[in-house]
Amino acid sequence: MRRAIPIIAAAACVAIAVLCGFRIEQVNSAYPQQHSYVYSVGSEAVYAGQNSSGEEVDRGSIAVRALNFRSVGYGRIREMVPGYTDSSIEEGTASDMRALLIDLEIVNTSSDVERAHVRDYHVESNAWMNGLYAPLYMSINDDPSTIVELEPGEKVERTLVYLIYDTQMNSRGDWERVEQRSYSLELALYPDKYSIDLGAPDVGRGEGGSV
Amino acid sequence: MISVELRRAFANNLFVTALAMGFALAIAQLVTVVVPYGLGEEWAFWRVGSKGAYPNSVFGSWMGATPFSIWSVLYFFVLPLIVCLPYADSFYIDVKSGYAANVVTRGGSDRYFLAKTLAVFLTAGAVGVVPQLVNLLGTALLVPVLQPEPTAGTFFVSPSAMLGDLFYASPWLYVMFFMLLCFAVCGLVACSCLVFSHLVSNRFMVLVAPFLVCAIAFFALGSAAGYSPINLLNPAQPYVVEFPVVLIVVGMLTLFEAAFLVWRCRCYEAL
Repeated sequence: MRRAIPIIAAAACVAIAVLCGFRIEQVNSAYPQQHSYVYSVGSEAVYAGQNSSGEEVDRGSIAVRALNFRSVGYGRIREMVPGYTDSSIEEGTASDMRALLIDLEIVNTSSDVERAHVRDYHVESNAWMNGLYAPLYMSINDDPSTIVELEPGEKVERTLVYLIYDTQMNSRGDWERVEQRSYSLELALYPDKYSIDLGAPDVGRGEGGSV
Repeated sequence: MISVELRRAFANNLFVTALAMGFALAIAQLVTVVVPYGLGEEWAFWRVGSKGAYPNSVFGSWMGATPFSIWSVLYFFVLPLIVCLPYADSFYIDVKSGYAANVVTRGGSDRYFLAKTLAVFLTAGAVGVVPQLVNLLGTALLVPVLQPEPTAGTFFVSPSAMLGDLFYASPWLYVMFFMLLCFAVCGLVACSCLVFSHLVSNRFMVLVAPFLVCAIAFFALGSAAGYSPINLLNPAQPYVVEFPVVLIVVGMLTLFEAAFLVWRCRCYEAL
């Protein structure tokens, strides 16, 4: 009997491991297999999935093209939008920031009216991500909404604005390399991921200088 | 002597009690957080990815990733206490009872101190990590293993967190790193009781001293509170810490404890 105990225990462990394996497989198979579609700057990108209003976006009905990607400092963004003040900088919560600007061309390639939810587009870089900063987007594009309504065949250009602060980085060194990081614009995340690989931002004419 | 100490450490009621406390908190987190995520009607919206939402993943649902759950918070808060429960005060008891003097006379102080340190370290590491492993497995039985996505906005590891980039690139490596860190730091915390055995002459104080130090550090250190094990061992990292500083702090603690134990071992026969 004493000799049988380890054998029974080992058999029970194997049985539990097999059952756990089956259950994990069952849970994961209930979720669709994710695919990732990555486009480059300048090429036409399409996406599919539900937008944040719950409307279905058919793949290919809206095409977007990233034309330009650049980083500007607080001073430059205040020149672009007179009267703009950033509360994190002014109150001292953060000591430095950048605005990542993406010039985007959006085209309705379908025969119906389409609504592009630009607020659903996020920018990410490794662990960092941020959503569209709507107040600056509205000022720069002179558009009161973050939803662009497009007639069939209509093409518009918009500048998307994303803010990044030094407090969002782990160390001072990470912040100093913030403009050498590679970024991507996420158009849709689930069930399939559609993104535009933006690379590192242009830092022209000293625009990305510190605050 | 090592096998004797390991048997005394692992085959003891306090070890089972400490593990049971860890399991209780791990299961409470499963019941209150993971079961609703995996089966609850209120989370069905997320599970099907409505409005572009990203379903809950194992990496955002297990106890090391839910700092909003009282059970996760409680687990990491009491960890410096429960890891000391099984065996950390045994040196103090051995000295008081005369057992240590007997064993050292027969086997030598080097072997006794080595066996004692190893037993304390291993029991503490096991008590710190095993409930987390069980919770992780339980979570995987209910929630899918989906790659963490920063854009999802449902993962608590922020870009300013230590090894935040690793979490989104290789989440299993990140989890493994924190399990190893937890094992090592829990072991060091429990081994500090061997130091406190020399400094205080009360069994209860020997046992709770590391917890008090961790709790005081957590509440009193301000922006450096993240380096208290109460925060440091939590993979969700509610407070930001820097990896090189963590290595320095853990390395210095290891060196200090090792130096103290070597000194204590050398002096022991003279006591």
